[in-house]
Amino acid sequence: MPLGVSISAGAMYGAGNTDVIRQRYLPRMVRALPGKPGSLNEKHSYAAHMQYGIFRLRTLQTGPSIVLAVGQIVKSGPVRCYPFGHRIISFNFNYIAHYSIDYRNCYSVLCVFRAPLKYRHQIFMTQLPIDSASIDPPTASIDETLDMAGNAKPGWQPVLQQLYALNSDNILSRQNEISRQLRTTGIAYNAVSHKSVDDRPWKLDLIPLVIESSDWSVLSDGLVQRAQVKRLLLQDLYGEQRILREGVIPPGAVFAHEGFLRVAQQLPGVNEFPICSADVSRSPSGDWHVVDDICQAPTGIGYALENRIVLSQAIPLVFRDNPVKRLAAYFRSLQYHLAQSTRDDERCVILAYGSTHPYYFEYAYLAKYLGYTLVEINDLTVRDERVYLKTVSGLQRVDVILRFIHDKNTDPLAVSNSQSVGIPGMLQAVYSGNIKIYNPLGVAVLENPAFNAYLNEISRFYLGEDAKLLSTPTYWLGDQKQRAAADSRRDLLLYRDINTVGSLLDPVTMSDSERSELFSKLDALPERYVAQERVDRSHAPSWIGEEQLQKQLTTRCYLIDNDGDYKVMDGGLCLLDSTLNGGRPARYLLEGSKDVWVLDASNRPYDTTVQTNVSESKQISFVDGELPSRVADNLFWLGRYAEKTENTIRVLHTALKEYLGDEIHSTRSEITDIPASIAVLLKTLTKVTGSSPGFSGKTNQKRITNPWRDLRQLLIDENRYGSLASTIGNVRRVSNQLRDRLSPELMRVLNDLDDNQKQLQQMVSAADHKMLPTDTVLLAAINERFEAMLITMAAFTGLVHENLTHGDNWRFLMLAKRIERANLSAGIVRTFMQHEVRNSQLLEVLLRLFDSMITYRTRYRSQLNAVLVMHLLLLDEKNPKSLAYQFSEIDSYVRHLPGKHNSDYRDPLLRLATVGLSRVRLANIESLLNSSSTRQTADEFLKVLEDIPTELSSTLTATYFTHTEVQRSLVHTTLLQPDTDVPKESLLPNGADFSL
Amino acid sequence: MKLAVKHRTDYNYSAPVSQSVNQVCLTPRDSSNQTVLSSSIEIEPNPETIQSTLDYYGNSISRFNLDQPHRACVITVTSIIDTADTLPPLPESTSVADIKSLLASHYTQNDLMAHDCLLPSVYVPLIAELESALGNLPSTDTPVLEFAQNLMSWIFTEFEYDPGFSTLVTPITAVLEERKGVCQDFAHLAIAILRYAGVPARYVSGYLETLPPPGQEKLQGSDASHAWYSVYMPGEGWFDFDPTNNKRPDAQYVTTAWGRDYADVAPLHGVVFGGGETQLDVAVDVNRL
Repeated sequence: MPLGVSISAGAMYGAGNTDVIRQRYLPRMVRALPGKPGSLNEKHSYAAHMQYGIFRLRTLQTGPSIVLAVGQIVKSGPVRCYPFGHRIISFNFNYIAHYSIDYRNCYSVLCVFRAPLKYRHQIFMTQLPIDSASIDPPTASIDETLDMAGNAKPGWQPVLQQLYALNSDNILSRQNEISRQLRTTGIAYNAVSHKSVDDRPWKLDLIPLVIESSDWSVLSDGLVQRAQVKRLLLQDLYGEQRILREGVIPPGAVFAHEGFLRVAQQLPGVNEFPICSADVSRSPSGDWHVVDDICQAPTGIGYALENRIVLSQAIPLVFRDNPVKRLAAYFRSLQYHLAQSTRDDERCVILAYGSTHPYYFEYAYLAKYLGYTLVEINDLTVRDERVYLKTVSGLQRVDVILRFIHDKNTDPLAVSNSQSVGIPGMLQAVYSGNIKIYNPLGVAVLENPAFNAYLNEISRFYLGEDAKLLSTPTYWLGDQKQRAAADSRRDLLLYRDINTVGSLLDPVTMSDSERSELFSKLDALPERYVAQERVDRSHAPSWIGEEQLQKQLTTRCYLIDNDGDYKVMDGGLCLLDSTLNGGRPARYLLEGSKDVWVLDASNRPYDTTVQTNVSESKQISFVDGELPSRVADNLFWLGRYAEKTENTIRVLHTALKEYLGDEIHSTRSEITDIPASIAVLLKTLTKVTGSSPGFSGKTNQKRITNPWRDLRQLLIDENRYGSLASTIGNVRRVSNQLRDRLSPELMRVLNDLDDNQKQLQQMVSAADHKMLPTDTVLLAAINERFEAMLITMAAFTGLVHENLTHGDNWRFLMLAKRIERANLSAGIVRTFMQHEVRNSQLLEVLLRLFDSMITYRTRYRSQLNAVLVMHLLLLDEKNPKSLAYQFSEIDSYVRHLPGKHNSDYRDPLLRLATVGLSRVRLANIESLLNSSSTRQTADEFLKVLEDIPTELSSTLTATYFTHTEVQRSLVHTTLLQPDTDVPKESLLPNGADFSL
Repeated sequence: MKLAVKHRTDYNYSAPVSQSVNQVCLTPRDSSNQTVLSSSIEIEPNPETIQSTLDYYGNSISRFNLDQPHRACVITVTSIIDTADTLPPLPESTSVADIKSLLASHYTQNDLMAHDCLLPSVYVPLIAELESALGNLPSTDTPVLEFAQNLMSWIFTEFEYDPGFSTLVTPITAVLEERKGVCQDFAHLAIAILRYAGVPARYVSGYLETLPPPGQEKLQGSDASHAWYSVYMPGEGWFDFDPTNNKRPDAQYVTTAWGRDYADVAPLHGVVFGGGETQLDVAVDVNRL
C-alpha cells in the first residue's frame, strides 16, 4: 500500500499555528488518527488514513467552522467522501483517492489530496466515531436526514428507501426526464447568454428536501413572527419612526441603507407588506436561522412551483406515498390578495425585467400559471395619474401590479438624482391611489442586514417578545460596541455591504492587499457594513448522475398576507451549493436545487386548485386583445423567422438532393459543367437567406462551381447573416421572449428544432469544406436531418393554428408567416424566371421548392408545362403554397387587425394588402410568359410582389409595434449630472439584486 | 424683512415633447428664520393636476405631468417671505471630535436629520482627499460651530468663485483640485469636510437678495438661486453658513429647501419624451417689499 512515508502529526499541521490546534483539536486528532498520517511524494499532496467512522477534512486558517469535506467509512461498502471545498481555496478534490484497506482489523481510508502551498499546513482531518453523538455541534454542518442523536429521521426514511431502491438506469432516466421537462418549460434556459440552453441550466435534484411537520411548524412560526415584526417596522420607518426616536436601533443603520426610500413616506400603501420571503438554513445546533430577507418580490416562487411539478412527475410513486403538503394554497392566497385590491373587471399585470434578465423564465412561468399579463417597464405608461398598458388595441388601464422590479426602477423620480429606468409618473399614480403595487414601494428597506444585529430588540419593541427565529449572528459596524466585538476577530468574520444582497466578502479568501483594502473600507464607512459569523449550513444527499454527493442547503420560504395573518407556503425553493463561508452563495455558484417536501402530520385531502376561492365577481380579467405592443412585435418576428427557417431548409434540402442525384459528384470536388438546377438553387439560396456574398451575380461563377465553403457557413455559422444557424438562433431568441405566451407543446417543437440544428452543427463542423462534397454518407445524413426539421416546422405551423386562440396573438404570428412567405415566394420564382422557365427539370425543382409537386401531378396529370406550373404557384388561390394564397390571407388578416375597418382604403396597411392581392388576381400568366420581352415583364411583375410584403412589414411595425418615443434622460433645471462620484445604474440590475 | 421672490423657468424644445413628468422644489418653506406669507406656482401649458406635498425633509414639492404634446413649458413660482431681522449669535458647542458620540444618544426629530447628514450622499462622497483639506483647518478640539465658521472663511479665501468654471454640480475632487467653483460646489465641499470630520451638515437651497451697484437700477431677472450649508449642534439646532459670501445667512436670505445635498432639493427634475434640443432659461428676482 502506498503508505510510504510516515510523518508525525506535527508535520501535518505545520509548526506555525500549533498552539490553537493543540489546545482545541489535538486530543481528538490523536483519537482520530490511530495510524500515522502519511505523505506522498507528490508535491503539495498529503495523505492520511483512518479508521471507519465519519471524518471531516478541515482547514484551520479559516477558523474552526470550515469543513472541506465529510466522508464516511463503514465496515462494509465503499468509502464515501463528500468534498465541500474546492471553491474556497481552490482545494481540488479531483485528486482525492480513497482506498479501503484492512488495517488492524479495521476498515480505514487513505485520502490523498492536493492543496495549494499556502494551505498545506492548515488542513487536517478529524474522525469521529460513527456511533457517537459527540459530533461537535457548534462547528459542524449537520445532516438533514439525521436527527441530533444521529438517528435517521422518520420522515426521510420512506423517501430515501424508495429512492435508494432505484437502480442506476432508473436514476439516470428519471434525471433525463427532469432535464427534458425543465427545458420544455424553459426553466433551463439561460436568458443572459442567448447562446445555449445548456449554459448553466437550472438543475433539480431527484432527492427532495424532506421537512417533518413538527420541524416545519417551528420554522413557520418563526417566519410568521418575523414577517409581522417586519411589517410593523416598515410602517414605523415610513411613519413616526418611533423605533429610531426611542433609540432602539441607531438611525444610521437605517439611513445608510439605499432601500430606505424617502419618497415612500408620502405614498399610500406603504403600511402593507403582503409578500414576504426569507432564505433560511439550519445551523449546526439544529436550529433554523435566517440568512437573508427578500422583501420586494417573491423571487423564486416560479422555480419552487416548477420544481414541484417536475419532481412529482419524475418520481410519482414516491410523491404519492408520502404525505407531502401542496403548494397551491399559497398561489391561491396570492391571487386572492391581488384580486381583493381590484374592482370588478380590473386588470392585474406582472411587471418584470425583460427577457435578458436572468430570472425572466420565472416571470413568464408565473404569469402563465396565474393568468396575468407579463409586462415590462416600457410596456406601461402613466397618463392623468393612471397607469396604462400599451397594447395593439391602444392604452388599457392597469389597476394592480405584482412587481418583480426594484423599488428604484418603478419611477425614475423615486430616487433623487437617479438615472435609472422606470415608468415616469408612477409616483403620482401611486400617490393618488390609482394603482396598487405589490409589494409597495419602499419595502427594500427591510432587506437591510443591519437589522439582524438588533433582531431581539426590534421584536421586543413591537411585539413584546423575543424573536423566535434568529438570523446569522450579525454586527452592524456603525455601532461602536458591536464594532469593537467584531474587530477582535476581524479576520474570522464575513463582511457585507448592507446595500448588496447576498454576496459576502471573506477575508480568508483574499490576498493580503485585498484584505487590507477591505479593512480600510470598513474603517472609512463603517455604517455601510455588517460583519457576520460563519455558520455552517446543513447538508443532504444529492444525486449528480449516479454519484451521491452531499450538498449544503439554503431554503427560500415564502409568506403571504392572508387577511392580516401571514401564511407560509408549505414548501419552498431549496438551493444547493458547496461554498464554505456560511453565507449565501452567489447565483453562479449554485449547484442545483431541490423540491421541498413539507410533511403533513394529519392526512387531510389535498387541495391543488388555483383560483377557486377567488370570488367570481373578482376574477381578474385576462382577455384577448390585451396584447402588449412589444409582445405583438415578438410574435410577428417569430412568424417571420420561422417561415424563413422553413424556406431556407427547403432550398438547402432540394439543392443537396439535386447534388446527390447528380452522378459526377463523387469523383470531383469541383464541377465545371454544373447542372442548371443546382446553379439556380444556389442563387435561390442567396435570395432566401439574403446572405452575401452570394451565388447570384455574374462574377460569382466560381462560387457556384465550388460552393462548399459557403454552404458550410450557411449551415452552421451563426455569425453569418442569413445562415440557417443564425435564423434558427433568431427563432430561439424571439421565442424565449414569448415564454409567457407560447404553450409547452410549442416550446417543445422549437426545442426540437434547436436540437436538430445542434446535431447538424456537430455533423457538419466535423467535416472540412473540401471533404464535404465527397462524403455522400454525410450529405445524405444532413438531408435526413433537414427532413426532420421540415416536419418540425410543419408541427410548429400546425400547433400555431391549433394551439393559439385565434385572436390578435395568432393573427400577428400568422400574418408574419404569410408576409415572409409572399416575399420569399415571389423572390424564388423571380430567380427561376431570370434563368429559364421552360426547362422541365427546373420546373420540377421549382414545384418541389413550393412543396406542390403532388398537387400538380394530381391536378394536371400532364407533363410539366410552364404555364400550368406558374399558374399553380403564383395565381391559384386554392393552393396554400401559392403566392396568390399568401396575398389573400394577408388581406384577410390585415382586415381583422385591431382598429381596422374593412373599407377604409386610406389606411396604408389595407391599401398595401389590397394592391398585392389585386395584382396577383389580375395577372395573366400566358402574357407574362409569352410576351416578347418575357423576362423583363415577368421580372417587374414579381419584383413588385416581392416588395409589397416588405413594405407591409414596415408599415405594421410603425402602426403597432413602435412604442412611444424613447425616453430622454432626466432634465435637471440648472444643473446636470456630474460625471463621477455618482453611482451610475446600469439599465438592468445585475442578477445579485434579487439574488437567488 | 419682507422679500418677494419670483423664479421663472423656461423650457423650449426644438421638437415637440409628447409627454413630460416633472417635480418642482421651488416653494420656500417655513423655518425658525422665516415665515412664508404666500407662494403660488403657475405652469404653462396648464397641467391636469398638480400634486403638492411635503417631502421627507418637510420641503414643499409639486409634481405635475404634461400629457399633451408641447414645445415649451414655463414654470413660475412667486412667493412672499418674511425673514427674521436679527441673526442670533452662535451658541457654545461641543468639539468636533466629540460631536458624533454626543449625537449617538440624541434621537429627536431634529436629531434624526442630523444622523442622516453624517453619512455620505450622492454629491458628498467621503473621499480620502478630504483629509488634506482638514489639515488646513483648526484642530478637532475646536467647537463645531466655530469650526464651521472657520471652514466658511477658509473656502471664501482659498477658493475662487467662478460661474464660468462649470454650471454643473462639479465633483468635489475637481473643486479641491481647481480651487474654484460655484455656490453649490462650495456648499458640497464644506459638507463633505464636515461629515468627514464627523460633524452633521446639510445642504440648503434658497435665494439671496442682491443690491445693484450704487446709483444703478436693479436688472430684471438678475438674481439667481443660491445654496449654502448648515451645521447641527444637538440641543441647539441647525446653523447656516454661506461660504460663497463668507457670511452667516441673515434677513437677506430666503430658504427654499434643505436636504442631504443638491440631489434632494434640485429645483426641477423630470423626464421628457421626445423634444430634441432643450433650451433652458432661468430668471430670478428677489425684491424687498
